[in-house]
Amino acid sequence: MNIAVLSGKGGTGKTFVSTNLANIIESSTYLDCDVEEPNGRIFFNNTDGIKKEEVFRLLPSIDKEKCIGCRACVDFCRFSGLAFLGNAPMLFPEICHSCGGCEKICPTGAITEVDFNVGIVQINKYKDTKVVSGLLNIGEASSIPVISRVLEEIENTSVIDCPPGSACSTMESIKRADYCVLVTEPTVFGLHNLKMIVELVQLFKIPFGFVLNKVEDPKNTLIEDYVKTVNKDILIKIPFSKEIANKVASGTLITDTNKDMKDLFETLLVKIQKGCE
Amino acid sequence: MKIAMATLEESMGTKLDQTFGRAVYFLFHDTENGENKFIENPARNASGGAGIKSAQTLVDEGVEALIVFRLGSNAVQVLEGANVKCFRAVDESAQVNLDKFIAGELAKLEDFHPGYHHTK
Repeated sequence: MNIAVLSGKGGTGKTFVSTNLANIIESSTYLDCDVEEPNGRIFFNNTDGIKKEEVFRLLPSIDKEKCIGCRACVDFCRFSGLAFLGNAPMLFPEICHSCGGCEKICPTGAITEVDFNVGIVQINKYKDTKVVSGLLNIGEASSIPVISRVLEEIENTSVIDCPPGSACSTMESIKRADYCVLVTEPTVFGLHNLKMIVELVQLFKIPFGFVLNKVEDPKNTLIEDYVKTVNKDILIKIPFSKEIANKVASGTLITDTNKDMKDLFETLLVKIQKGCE
Repeated sequence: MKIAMATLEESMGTKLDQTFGRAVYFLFHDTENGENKFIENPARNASGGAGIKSAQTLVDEGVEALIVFRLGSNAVQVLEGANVKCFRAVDESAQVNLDKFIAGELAKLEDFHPGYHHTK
């Protein structure tokens, strides 16, 4: 079973929920797909036996000797990743979507696709959890190749820590999910972006449920009221507490030390399993 | 010599478009015969690479000078590659910009914004 944890708004507690959820599941895999700022690995604090592998995407390489200046590749590229100057194509790597179309369309075989490094994937173990993190190179425009590589490590019960927002990187991250946990907080901003990802997971037809984090004021029913309108219940509520904040700030997992919190995450897992049936 | 401008409307009285890549129209003025030609910018609604595509349109048209408010780095690479000279537009009509250019009153555009894509 693959459980994706997403939120729309950043800072609602995706990483808090996904790291602790992976921690209480036996022989789980934790996959950090928030590759622009992966921080889940901080909580699985074990640098022993760390394995790193480079991630590549393909870019066209143009052989000037073979190029006859026919412009077929430039006209084919719908992203304008190639311009035509002085009778030869000029490549804009950050615009290129690595589709390989220019290589196929070139009549003289002047274009070949070559590997271009865009980041790394790093794997280690924390107790019985396999911890996988994608790290995108700074300045790289697309996170998709790194996310896609991270997802190749899916094994046993996997918890996928998704990037914030509802754009391509989030869609890529939930591609293999059997269930989506939508983490939110009782704020107007939290609700606004929550609605966007509800729309997204409904589009993907993936079963989903809500986790309400940072619960403080029982009179604040902003999220509860909304959840009713989509005929759902909140799976678990996590209190706004100093102890949790301290644990997060010190880079440790609350389910390692706090029995009540461990039970709460066990409840979450049971409800997710039910939701998948 | 062909001069290009990014414009909002198809008339010489039009204001220039503040953007280049997603400009509404391009005006091509030919100093040889005084002709003005407007075309719709084919890159206006491009999903990406609009600056490159717009610059390509100018290069294909044989433009030698561009009067514009601002340019991204990708468009600059294409324009520089084709030796198109860029001049800073003034907030007036296309006609006024053209007159000022011919009188040599427009400054060269030398600072470019990094574009909307990350660059290495």
